[in-house]
Amino acid sequence: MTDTSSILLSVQDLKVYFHGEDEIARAVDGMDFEVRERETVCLVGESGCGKTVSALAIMGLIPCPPAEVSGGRIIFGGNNLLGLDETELERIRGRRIGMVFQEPLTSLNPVLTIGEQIAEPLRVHTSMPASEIAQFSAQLLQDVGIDRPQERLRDYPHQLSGGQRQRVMIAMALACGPELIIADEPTTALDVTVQAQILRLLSALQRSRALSVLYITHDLGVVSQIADRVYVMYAGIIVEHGTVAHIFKDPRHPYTRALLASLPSRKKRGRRLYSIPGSVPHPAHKPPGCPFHPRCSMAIAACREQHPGLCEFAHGHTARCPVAAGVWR
Amino acid sequence: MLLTAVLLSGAALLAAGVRTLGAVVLVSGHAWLFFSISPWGFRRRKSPAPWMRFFLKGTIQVDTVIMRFVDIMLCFPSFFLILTVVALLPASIYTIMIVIGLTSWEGTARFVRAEFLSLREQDFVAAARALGVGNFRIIFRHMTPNAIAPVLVSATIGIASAILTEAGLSFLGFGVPPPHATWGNILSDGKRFIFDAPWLTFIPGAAILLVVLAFNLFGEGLRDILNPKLRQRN
Repeated sequence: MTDTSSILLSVQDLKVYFHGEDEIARAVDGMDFEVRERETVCLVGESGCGKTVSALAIMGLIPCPPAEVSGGRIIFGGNNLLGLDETELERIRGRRIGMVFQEPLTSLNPVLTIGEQIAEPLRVHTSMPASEIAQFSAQLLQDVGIDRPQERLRDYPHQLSGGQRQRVMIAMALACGPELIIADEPTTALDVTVQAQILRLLSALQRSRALSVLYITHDLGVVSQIADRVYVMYAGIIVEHGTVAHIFKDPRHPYTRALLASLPSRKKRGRRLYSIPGSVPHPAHKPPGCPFHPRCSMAIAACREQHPGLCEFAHGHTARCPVAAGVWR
Repeated sequence: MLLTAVLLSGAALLAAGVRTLGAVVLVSGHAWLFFSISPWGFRRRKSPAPWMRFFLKGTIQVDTVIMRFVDIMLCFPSFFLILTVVALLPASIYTIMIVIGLTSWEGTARFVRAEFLSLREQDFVAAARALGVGNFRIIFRHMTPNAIAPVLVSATIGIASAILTEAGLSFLGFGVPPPHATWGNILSDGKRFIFDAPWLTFIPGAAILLVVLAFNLFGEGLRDILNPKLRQRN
């Protein structure tokens, strides 16, 4: 991917806070990232680091209250999505941004047929006549690799396997020809062989339909397969950003390094796997300074006091660690 | 006899129909109200934005008002309420129908509300929202079909209980007035001759039993048919 291609989605300083009984959980705390046209961007991080919340914020689906988007801008195709009202958002959801959820088993309505559900975004967003909708839905199912689509259209979700259901979800997200697909851990609930098929399907569709994909996952193996660029998240902020080569060959942030060190590999056969000491801070009780410093092997006194800024290590490769960059000593 | 059965079933069906329809409309309506205003349910929180707090208050009140009204209606012993109303109003088959309908919708209303509250949190509702489907369409196209099957089942059982109520009223002489024959009437007329001609009470009694049983079984069958998991592949 070249830097000259235009930016489709740009999230700037996004903050999403959850208001609890007597504390505020800062789930997403000043996040910046962008997705360019026709590229696959991965958002990686541990459970609870704010990946899903930021995706829901883009779709305008944050449960509000208790959550609240407290700041920042989400620029999509020139509009700030946070400034739109519900009707305008409904026109963007499903039509210009598609979303694929984590659980294909529960994300389909059990009492409607596959055909009715695929037709739903077409009915809501287009004025396609009913006869064409059926044909178009069958074509969509064919495109996502489902055999005998005409018959499948009359099936109910429980008659399909997990992988087929996730394919149906992808077909629904694609129905109106969106520019961006947000996939929130779409393969987590599936077994490994099906996962590989779905990943291949997503990258094939991305090429053939000139889509941008924002792929949210905690699985670094998946990232290395599909991503063009990677954002590593920790406790609601982006700690490192770069191309796949940057992140996997030359990680700079101690968190990214620790994550990669804890991956199993052939070289580490027979040895005990590395695990990062400690656990992710609760979003309501984040440590001051760098949120990673209590678990960091490189932490110095300054890490406890100052919020680390972004440091550039190479063109298009930044990490939020001034210690690694040699700025703080 | 046949005429009676038809008439009575019609009355009971209408009564049950009125109450189910009422309950569904009412509950869907108010589900729509609080669903649309606070999309993801109202959990308790301390400091929402001022305008949100205003709406939040509003939504809780809409739901509370309706459900407390249901609670009040449930407090009346419905059979005696019916007796009172029938005693005050001119007795006719329509009065009986409307009164039975108006005093037996609360259970269904509560039931539908509970269904909607749990459906609202389902993933497929979130998925529908992510497709850009509006609140109105989500309620009537995505949630109602999920809630309607148990409601229909409870409605058929409601028909049975409405028939029983009417038979009870007629037996006591407060039911449908004489020119129309109902099973309850026949029963109470026959009870004077119970030792000389026991079939006069036995046959209408058996008819009530059969019809009530039939509606209950019909409800069971309906539940199986409406469940897509049990439906045969066509």
